[in-house]
Amino acid sequence: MMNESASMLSIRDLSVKASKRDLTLVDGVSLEIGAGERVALVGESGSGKSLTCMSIIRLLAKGLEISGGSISWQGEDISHASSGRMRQLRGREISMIYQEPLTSLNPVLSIGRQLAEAATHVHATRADVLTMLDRVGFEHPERVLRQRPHELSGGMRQRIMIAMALLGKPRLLLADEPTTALDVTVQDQVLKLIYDITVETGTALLLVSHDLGVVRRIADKVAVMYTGRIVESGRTENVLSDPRHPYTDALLRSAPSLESKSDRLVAIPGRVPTPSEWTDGCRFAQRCEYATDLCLTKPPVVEFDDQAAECWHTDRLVAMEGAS
Amino acid sequence: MTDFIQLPRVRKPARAKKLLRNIPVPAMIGLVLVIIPALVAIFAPWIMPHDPTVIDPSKALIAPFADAAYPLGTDNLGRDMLSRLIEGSRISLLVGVLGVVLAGSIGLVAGLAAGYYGGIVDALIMRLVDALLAIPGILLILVILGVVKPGLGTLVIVLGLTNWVIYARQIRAEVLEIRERLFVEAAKNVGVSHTRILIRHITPNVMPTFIVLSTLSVATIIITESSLSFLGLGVQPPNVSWGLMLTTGRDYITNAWWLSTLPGLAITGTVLGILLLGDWLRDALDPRLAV
Amino acid sequence: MTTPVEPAVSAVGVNKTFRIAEGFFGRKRDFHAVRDVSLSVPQGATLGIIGESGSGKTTVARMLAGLHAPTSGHISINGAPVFDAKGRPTAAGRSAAQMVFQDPYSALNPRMNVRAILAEPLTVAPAASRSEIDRRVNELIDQVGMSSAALDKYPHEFSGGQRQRLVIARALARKPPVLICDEPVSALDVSIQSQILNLLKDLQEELGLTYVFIGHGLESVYFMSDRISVMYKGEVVEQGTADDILLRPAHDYTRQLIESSRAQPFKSRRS
Repeated sequence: MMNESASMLSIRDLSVKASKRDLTLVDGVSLEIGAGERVALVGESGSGKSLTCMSIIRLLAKGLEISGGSISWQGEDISHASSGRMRQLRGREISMIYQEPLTSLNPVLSIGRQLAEAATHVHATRADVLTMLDRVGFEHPERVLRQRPHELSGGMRQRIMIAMALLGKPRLLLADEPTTALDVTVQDQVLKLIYDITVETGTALLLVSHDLGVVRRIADKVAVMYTGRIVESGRTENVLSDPRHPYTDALLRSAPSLESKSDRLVAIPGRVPTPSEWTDGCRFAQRCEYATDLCLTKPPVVEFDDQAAECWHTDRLVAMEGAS
Repeated sequence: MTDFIQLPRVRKPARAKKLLRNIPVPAMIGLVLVIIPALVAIFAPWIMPHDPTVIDPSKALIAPFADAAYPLGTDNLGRDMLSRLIEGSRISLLVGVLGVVLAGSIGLVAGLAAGYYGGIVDALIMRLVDALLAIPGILLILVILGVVKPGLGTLVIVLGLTNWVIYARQIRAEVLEIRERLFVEAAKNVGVSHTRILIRHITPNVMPTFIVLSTLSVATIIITESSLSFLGLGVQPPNVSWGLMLTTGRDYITNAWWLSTLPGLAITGTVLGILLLGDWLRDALDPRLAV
Repeated sequence: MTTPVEPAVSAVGVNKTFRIAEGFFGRKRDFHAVRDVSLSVPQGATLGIIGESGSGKTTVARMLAGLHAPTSGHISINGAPVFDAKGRPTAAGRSAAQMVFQDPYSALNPRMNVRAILAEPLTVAPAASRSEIDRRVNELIDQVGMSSAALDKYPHEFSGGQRQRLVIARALARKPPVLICDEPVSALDVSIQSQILNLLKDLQEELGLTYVFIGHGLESVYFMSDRISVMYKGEVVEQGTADDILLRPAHDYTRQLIESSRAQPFKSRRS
């Protein structure tokens, strides 16, 4: 779906299954990330966005496995690489930060100890660690080393996570809902940090989020996921101001905005189907106002300028835009 | 209201039918291992081939499968092993069940009270629990039995009184966690009485732990009874229990293995069955796992 | 000449201080979670409260709902005090303002079916009769847009949005005049949030309810509220109509909040 030239990370038709219950949770996802690009995977719970991200560095939970497709990193197929190779990659070429830093950090060890652990793995020195702490916004890096996670605020902990993740100078940073657990104002600061630092170091970013606002802030490109598939992708400003898929459109319209005070929101009817209810055809059809019988079969990918959507009725949306 | 919400398709056969439909293998084995002794205990008088207490030295130490009249052999006093095993099942299981009922009731109430009310109630109960736990169980039992005349009733009471503490501790911990949950707060908000909250909200959510503890307790109690009878402080002749049979067979292990081995197998099999069954029962009763 | 109508919710000079033990030997310290907060909500209106974690907004919500007594200050619903002189919730205080909780996953007892959950508030004194309860339960499930087939099911059989509808239904059981909504949609998927917000608005109109709406994001608070109070570190730093707050923010924190919510891209992209 996305421009394939010069991509560092190339995901082709990825499928992830829950082996015991024979349920496919990620259904044929394709994604390209080029050097220095900031890409967002956006979707609600059950969309498969986190699983897609976890698959890249093979951190899938027990019972989940890659059942199809491939993941290539700089030309090398890592979907079937050995665990030794994956360990080499993690932290050094591809790093990850998570949503809840309190559980990612060991509460009984000092920050210094944990950073030291990370530093050893990537052959960084103490000086590197201190520089990094300074870079992520700590005025007194020495002091921070001696503290314990619970003594720091959520935003500070997340900065530590970012520092840890970037110590090894990875080419790609994976961020799974890094700001969701934070207050709105702190969210913003941390996002800005991630933005600035990735621009500075030329690190590519794959951000997983459910928040379109966050995506608008930080991502060049976005892929919208729904029920295990990418339903729309393209440049962020295109997708968010001019969506081609009814789901993206409905999502944008249903959010309350500060632009005007409306009496009621345009809610999407129904609910997200669970994996056992997924069909082969378009999975958004039952909630979609443009659905027809065609939607019983899997929709084709329709390409536009810097944008693509998997839908039979993209023309209806374009028509709507014209009308309004 | 315009939004019509599609409810998820959930099959809902009758609970009992659903329970029996998908019983996993371990639970099946457990069920069998428990039902056999249970049935045997219930129908004992009708299925015993001989009187378990009749002594006949001329028929002593017959090996199993050697004589059709005594399929599992006889013990050193010529008593039929099969009949004694059957009779023993009654006592062993009875003691096990009654002991658990006693220990469970006291433990559940104590744990609920300590966990829910906290404060001085909690302090008192937990100090008592700590004190009892500090004393080795067997020692306590021996001391009590040294003073009071051994007998079935005493045995049950003693076992119950020493085992309730395990329940109390564990259940208190569960209650501490459950009472913080939002639905308990919601009930308080509406003005539901504490008693009702305990009965309606806390206890049902404590049940899985309670069930698991109970299965472990039955197992422990049966084994403890066996040990006590082994030591001569539990069941007294002419009553029969598996533990007592173990004692009797002690001296004959080398030449008449079946005297101890058969009751030993009976104990092991029953206890294993209870544990397997308990695991399954806990999961089966959880509405969250029912779909 | 019209007689002045009581505000539906009124809080005057409310303070809440917690004693916290600090350090290994438990040196006690006072933590002022809420300082001198006053607010007033007219009948049928919605007051939004916004603030970050630690601002005291949740504590205020709990006090209004009768769950914690204030250390000092006065709270009343429709003129009736929520707490008595000893700090215990009055009967009126218990039932007048009901809380809609944030987490639909732990707000419902997993071992009770929906019918029992909805009926429970009705069994507290003065208890209703069996038939009255049945009728009311059916009414409630209908009001929140679910079918009566739901009554025999258990909470885990429903999605987050549906569970939240059940939480709302239960809160409405005894026909309270006021609902305190503590971030009622924060735990839900984006596409479901709007459904629930719409439902809340519909119910408000239908039943003449007054809301206190604690929100996470400014957008949902702005959408729901007529008036907004901004809380920061335990105090109300600003209050006014929703538009006042949005268009003419006076306090730094409010301005920061609005700025963050605007979600402009960090830099225009060149490539």
